[in-house]
Amino acid sequence: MSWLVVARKDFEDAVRSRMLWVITAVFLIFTAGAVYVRKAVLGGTPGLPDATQFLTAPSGLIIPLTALVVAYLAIAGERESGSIKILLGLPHTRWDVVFGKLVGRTLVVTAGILVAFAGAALTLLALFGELPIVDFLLLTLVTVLFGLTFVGIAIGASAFTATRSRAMALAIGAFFLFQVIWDFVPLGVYYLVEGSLPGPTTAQLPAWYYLVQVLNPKNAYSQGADIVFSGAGPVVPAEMLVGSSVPFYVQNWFGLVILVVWLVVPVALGYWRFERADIG
Amino acid sequence: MAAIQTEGLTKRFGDEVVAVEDLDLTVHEGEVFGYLGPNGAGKSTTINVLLDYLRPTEGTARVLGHDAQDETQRIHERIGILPEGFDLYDRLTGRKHVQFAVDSKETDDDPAEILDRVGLSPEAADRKAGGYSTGMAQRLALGMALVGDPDLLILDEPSSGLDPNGARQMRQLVRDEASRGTTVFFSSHILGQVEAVCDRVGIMSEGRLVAEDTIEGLRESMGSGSTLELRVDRVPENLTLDGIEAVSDVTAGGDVIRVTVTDPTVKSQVINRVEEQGAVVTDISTQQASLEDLFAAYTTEEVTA
Repeated sequence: MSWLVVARKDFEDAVRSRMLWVITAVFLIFTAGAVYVRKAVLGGTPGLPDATQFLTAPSGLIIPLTALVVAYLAIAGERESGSIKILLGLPHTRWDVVFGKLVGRTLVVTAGILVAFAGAALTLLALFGELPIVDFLLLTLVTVLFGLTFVGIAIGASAFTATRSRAMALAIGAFFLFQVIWDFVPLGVYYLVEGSLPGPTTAQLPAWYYLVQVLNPKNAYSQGADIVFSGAGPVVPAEMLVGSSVPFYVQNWFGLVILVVWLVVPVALGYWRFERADIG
Repeated sequence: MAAIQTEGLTKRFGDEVVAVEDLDLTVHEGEVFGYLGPNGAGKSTTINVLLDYLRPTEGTARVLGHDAQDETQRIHERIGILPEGFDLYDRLTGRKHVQFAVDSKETDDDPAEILDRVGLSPEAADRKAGGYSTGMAQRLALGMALVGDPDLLILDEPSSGLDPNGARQMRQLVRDEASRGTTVFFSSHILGQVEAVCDRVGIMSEGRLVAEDTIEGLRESMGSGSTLELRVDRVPENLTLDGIEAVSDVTAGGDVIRVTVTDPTVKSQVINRVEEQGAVVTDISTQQASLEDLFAAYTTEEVTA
């Protein structure tokens, strides 16, 4: 269990970083604050499930940020400094290093998520006098998977590159791609296919439009989280789609599949490159 | 079985740079092998291939009977390494570092005992490695290398960053390990440290192994033996040492006669001959040809070994 030794040391190392504590505090403020603001702005209107689900909004922004910051230097940073020589000089394979780092940094991010969600739970309890415990725990679970996915993207980027600066470029690129740029991708594709943009009067959208949307792990997360509140079924009713049926990829559960794909593919690509790399 | 064996090992970086070329190197089990050469000669590249940090362009490297690239983990379970250009984990203490090596190698070494052996005090061991000096970092890394009583130590420039006292302790440690049966392979460009501890040496120059021999053997092949220095009351006129074959050079000046011999057993013969010619020898000293001389000869001139 060589990766376990790597993971444990990596966790011990990472929790000593001040950056982690700053990010956890920010995350806590965002989640607890989001619940509070939502209630304060909209008064008593939203029910408890809505307020709980609203947690996915701050999570969708802060978790990618946290995971990328926590993990983008995991391997590239060690390559640049030279500590990777100590690590690989011990009986660890390069896969042990990649997988151990993935596990170690996921634990770090998960710890942050648990702290932030515990704060949100207390806030919900204070505002509503009760807490949907099962829903809340399931939402936490999906959120941890989302965190794992972004740690995977960051570890993949870190394994792929030899220097801190390139790993950082990849991490920042991934952040903007999924937070900003991807929002325009479905619209752009729609424009190319249909010759116009979908407007407020467009009653039906093609199913692929939703597929392009869910390919963004941020959207895959909110869709996956919606399983807890609306079930694993269709993202939209059939009458809102062009065609008569709702394909499998326009179902909430498909969001979880996309999250797993975004975990596996970057890690595999990063490992593939790292395994062949000369470490000088 | 050889502890280290490379066959036709070549490592190129890009199309232009040949760091190591067609290297056939054998290090026997139980010996202390000094891997010498100036900076940039290909020593670290060789070591990095042995440790699988780098992949060879051509040829193979075997360590303890295992292929360095295909069976890396099995090798690393049995060796201790001190790599060149390494860094520590700034936020972890020295003790945690050694504990990590213990966990990684699945042994039951006591970190405190290891740290003591490499001369790190308990106070230093509890400090974060980020605040360590180069010498302390070198000691800590060496301690990690000693975890699990390895069969082979591969040390890349082990004395770099150490003060003279630290370098002396390093040599003692190498001797101790060797006497426990550990094979030691270490590189250096500082030769004084090698001469005292090595059974055999290899000399690298511009990516090629230009010599591989015992220090005695190297001396013989270079023809530079030891120098006998005789202090006399007066230098005999027409001094001649003809007939003693092992004498390669004679110089005299003032009251000193210097005789270079390729075979140390002829020294008494030389002294007798000098006294026969009427001189009284008042003092005798001998000087070994230093490895420095050999090294300079191998790496600055065109020499084919």
